[in-house]
Order: sequence, then C-alpha cells, then structure tokens
Amino acid sequence: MSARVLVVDDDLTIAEVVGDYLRDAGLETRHAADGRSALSLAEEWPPDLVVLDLMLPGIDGLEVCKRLRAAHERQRPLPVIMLTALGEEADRVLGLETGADDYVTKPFSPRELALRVQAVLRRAAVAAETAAAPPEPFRAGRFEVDVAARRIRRDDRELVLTVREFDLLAFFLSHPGRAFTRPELLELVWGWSFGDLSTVTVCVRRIREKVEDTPTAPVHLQTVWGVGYRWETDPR
Amino acid sequence: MSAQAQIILIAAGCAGAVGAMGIAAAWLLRRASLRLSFQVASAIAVLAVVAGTLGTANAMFISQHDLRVVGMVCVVAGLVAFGFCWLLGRQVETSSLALRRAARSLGQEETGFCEPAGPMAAELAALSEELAATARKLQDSRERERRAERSRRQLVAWVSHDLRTPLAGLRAMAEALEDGIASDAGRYHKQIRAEVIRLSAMVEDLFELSRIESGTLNLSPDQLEARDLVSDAVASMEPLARARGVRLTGEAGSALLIQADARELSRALANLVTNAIRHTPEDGRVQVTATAEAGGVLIAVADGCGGIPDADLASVFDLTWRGTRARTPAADGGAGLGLAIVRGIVEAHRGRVSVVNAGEGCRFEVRLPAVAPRGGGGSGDGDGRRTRPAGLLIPGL
Ligand SMILES: Nc1ncnc2c1ncn2[C@@H]1O[C@H](COP(=O)(O)OP(=O)(O)OP(=O)(O)O)[C@@H](O)[C@H]1O
Ligand SMILES: [Mg+2]
Repeated sequence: MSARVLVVDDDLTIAEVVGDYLRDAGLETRHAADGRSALSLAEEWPPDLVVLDLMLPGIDGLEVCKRLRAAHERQRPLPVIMLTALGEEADRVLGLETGADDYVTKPFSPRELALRVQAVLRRAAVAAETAAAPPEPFRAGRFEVDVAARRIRRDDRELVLTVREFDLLAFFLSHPGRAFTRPELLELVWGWSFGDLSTVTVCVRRIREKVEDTPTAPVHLQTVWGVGYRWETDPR
Repeated sequence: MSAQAQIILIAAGCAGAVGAMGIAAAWLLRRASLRLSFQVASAIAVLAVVAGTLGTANAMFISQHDLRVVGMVCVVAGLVAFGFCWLLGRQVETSSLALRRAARSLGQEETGFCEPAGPMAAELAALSEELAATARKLQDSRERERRAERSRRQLVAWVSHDLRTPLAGLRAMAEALEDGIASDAGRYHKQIRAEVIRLSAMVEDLFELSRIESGTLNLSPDQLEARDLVSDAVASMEPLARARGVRLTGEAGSALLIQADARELSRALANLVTNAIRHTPEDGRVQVTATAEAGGVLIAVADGCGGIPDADLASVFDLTWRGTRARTPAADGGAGLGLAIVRGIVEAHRGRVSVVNAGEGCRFEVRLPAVAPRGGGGSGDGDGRRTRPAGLLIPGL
C-alpha cells in the first residue's frame, strides 16, 4: 500500500500542483482547505504524513498540527511538513514541541517539496526500525557512546549535552575520519532537507567546548577547510 | 536696657510686621506677573523702612519736625525704589516676551528658530541657550527624517521598477505558452522559473531590510569562531565560484572568537562573497580571510574586480546604489540591496564595514569586536537569549 499524504492549504493552486507531484511520486493524496475539514478528513482517512500550511482560515496551522498529532494513535509521531510564508520565523515552527519535522518557505519548488515528503517518509520508516533495535553501546578512543540510554562519556565522565548536541556528537563518533558538509549534517542529523545551515556551525562550536581540551584548537572535531567538519577519534 | 537695643527691638518689631505682610503678599502673588512682584517688593522694602522709622520715632519722642523730614526722605526713597523696580520689571518682561516668541518659533518649519535678541538676565540667557540647542536637535532630526523619506520613496520607485521588469517578461512568456505560440516552450519554462526565484530573493532582501530598519532584527548571538564562519562561507559559495570560473579561497587564524548571530552574519558574509564572485572576471580570484586585529577580528573579502572608482567608494553601501546606473537589471544583476543589508547586520553586531581598493580589485572589510573565550562548558541551546538591537535607520540614508 502506498503512503498517504494529507495536503492542507487554502490556496487551491498550490494544493493542486503539490497533489499532482505527490501522485506522480506514487503517493496517495487528499486535500483539505481548512483546519476543521483537515481534522475530520484525517479521522476517516488516517494519513502517514501531513503537508500543512501554517496560515489557515479558522484554526491556525500549529493548532491543527497539535490536534492531528494528538489524534494520531501510533507509537511514532505523525510526520508534518509545514508550509510557511516569509517572516513567519520558520525555525520557531521547527523548534516547538508541536512543531514540524521539516518546513518550506513559500514561494517554494513543488518538485523539491515532493522530494522532501519522500525523504521524511523514508526517515520515519528508518526511525521505526531503529526504535525496535537500538544500536549497541560502543567505545571510540576516550569516548563511550550509549545511544539507547542517550549517554556519552569522555574519560569516564558523562557529558552534559542537549538533544541536538547529543545527536550530532553520536553521529560523528560513529562516522570517524569522514568529512561531512553542513547540508549533509543537517539532513542526516537534524533530518531537515533544508534549513538554516548556521545551526550546524553553532552546534559544532558548542560540542567543541564540551569535548575538546582547547576548544579553539580542536583535535577531535576539526574544520575541513571550505568543505565542512570531520571527527578524528584518535588524533595524532 | 540701653537705648540702642531698644531702637533695634522696636524697628525689628515694626519692620517685621511689614515683612509678614510681604510674605503673605508673596504667597498671593505666586501666579502674578514678575513685574507686579517687583513692584510689590519695592513697596515692601520702603514700607519696612517707614514702619521702622515711625515706630522708633514714636518711642524716642523725636520732634515733629524731624519726623516730617524723615517721612519726606522715606517717600522720596520709596518713589526712587518704585521707579527702579518698575524699570527692572519692564526689562524682565521684555526678555521673557522675546523668549516666548522664540519658544513659539521652535518647531515652526517655515521660519525656523528665531533667537531672542538683546541682553538678558543670566538665567534667562541660559534658558534661551537651551532653546537654541533644542532647536538645532529638532532641525537635525527633521533633516534626517526628510532624507530617510526621500530614500524610501526612491526605494519604492526602484523596487517597483525592478519588480515590474521581470513581471512583464513573465506575463509575456505565460501568454505565449497559453496561446501555444512559444517557439521554444522548454526555454520559456526554465526562464519563468529563474525569474521567479530572482523575484523571491528580492522580496526576501526587502523583508530583511525592513527588519533591520524597524529594529526588529532579533539577534541570537553565540560565541563563534571566525575561522568556522569563513570556512562555511567558502564551502557554500564554492559551487557559484566554480560555475563562474573564479578561484575562491579562504584563510583564517584559529582562536578568533566573536559574539555573533551565526545566521545573520553568514548572510552578510554570503552577500559580500557573492558580490566579489560576480564582479571578478573568469580565472580571477576571490579570497576570504579572518585575522586578529587590535580589539577585534577583521574579516575581509578581496576580489579581482579591477577596483571601484574612487568617487563610488563612499556610495557602495547606500541603499539601492548600483555600479551601473542603468536601472534595468542585468541577467544576474541585483537590486542594490545586498551591501545595505551587510551594513545593517554588521552594525547590529556593533561592528563596522568598509571598502578599499587593493591589489587586483577591492577589499570589503568587516570589523567585529572580539570576545574573551567562555570558560567551561557551553550553555543550552540559546534560543531564549535574544537581544534586540537598537532601531537602525536604513543604512546609507
Ligand atoms: N566586490 C565588488 N567589486 C566591485 N564592485 C562591487 C562589489 N560589491 C559591490 N560592488 C558594487 O556595489 C554595488 C552595490 O552592491 P550591492 O550588493 O548592494 O547590490 P547588488 O549586488 O547590485 O544587488 P543585490 O546584492 O541586492 O542583489 C554593485 O552594483 C556593484 O557596482
Ligand atoms: Mg550584491
């Protein structure tokens, strides 16, 4: 059975074009023009993903997002891609508890949106698998990583990390010696196929302060000039 | 009790009674004109003398003749004092009238501030000085406002022109496609998409500018290394440079810490690097560097544009200023917003941006204040720590 995508937007042109692209990608889609009909439609036709406009007549997009997720009775949260207009502080939308998994700013490329929908669906499937069988704890040089317990130790001392810092550091520790660009990290760690790249820069800087002896002369989390960042577990 | 002491006592009693009347008069006169107050003051002074004299004269049994003499002297002295106070009151009245006229002229646009003429009491002169200073400040801010208004009107005119030009093309192409008479439909489709992307970028720039201008540019500053910023800028601009056949290189010392909003500063840096790549001929070179400088960090973008004419150096940061004066956008020409945005962002970070001609081309320099390294572990995600820069005028006005 192909995945179901619910498109919620009061702009009919946008909804139609997005629907065409998603059907072309082999997905099933339905359309709702406002929050209320989106909620009732989701009840009789439970979607696997929702493309949701933030600015909706009646109930606001974030509220719709919250109610859709509350009604969604599965272990995994319902993935949501938010459509925002310029100036609606898209990063705020992502940061919120009820926030989206990804967002696009209008005007956007429907081609790109379709690719993102597929990426988020893929990721949700992978997340479901790994949730069933979390990776084994492992040791890398001075570091001990336990992803299931969300714990990283350095020289037997536990590091105090935020969620994103943990994700990024754990990712680096399991992929040593390879340079990653910022867009790659944003996609692989944050799960955003698009977003503010400087988020990565800031997170890298914060991790360095916690894992490096001299944060301004990093030996583990190195800057690869003009490319991105690389982790070295055993720097010479 | 000696006669002398007696005289003093009696005089004090009589003059004191008049003084008490004076206090009552002063209270009654608190809202009266200065002139009347002066007049009353002179009368009180003379009356006090007269009362004291009469009192002591009575007690001392001075001859009637002597008393009359004293009385006459008092009347003459009283008249002189009265006249003098009248003159003084008139003087004060004239000055205060002049001040009033001056104050009324304050803020009047046609005539401007007319300073009160003629000599004036020290206190009033000081007040007049203050008024003049306020008038100058008002004049300055009005002038600034006028310039901002002119620039804004110009911006609207240019922007609507810049928006209309691609819209005309879009409309023409869309109609041609609709009517099926486009000779090369595929090319039209691509061109429509490219135009729309360009228009979107312009709208986004305008939005950023308005945030800078209104002071609602929310910075979430973080301690960053200039080296990472430069490296990241080079990494994300490399594809554009390669497509243009321009060699893009970066170089930075380590441990150059700055306190900055990573997103906004990256945007400023990206604007500078895009400009540099655009204005550098094929096989040219663009170099981004970060170096330590007294009290701060210098991030420089040097290109191979062949130099900006000296006369233009001062204007490049001005809103909507573009090198080619023609307002028809070239294939990849911008709206002249890029550098104004750079300046707004850098100044919101308490930095400075400037440009000099150097080597093969020009060099844009961003100076940011340095910070001391933060001790110990980092803080949380920092989303809560937002500072609001002071309201900035659109740069270059
Ligand atoms: N690196 C550079 N070398 C030579 N000239 C430059 C350089 N950067 C800017 N200029 C000149 O300054 C003008 C203003 O630049 P600015 O970035 O503000 O606008 P723009 O690039 O024309 O448009 P926008 O950035 O809004 O797309 C440019 O048109 C160009 O003439
Ligand atoms: Mg520019």
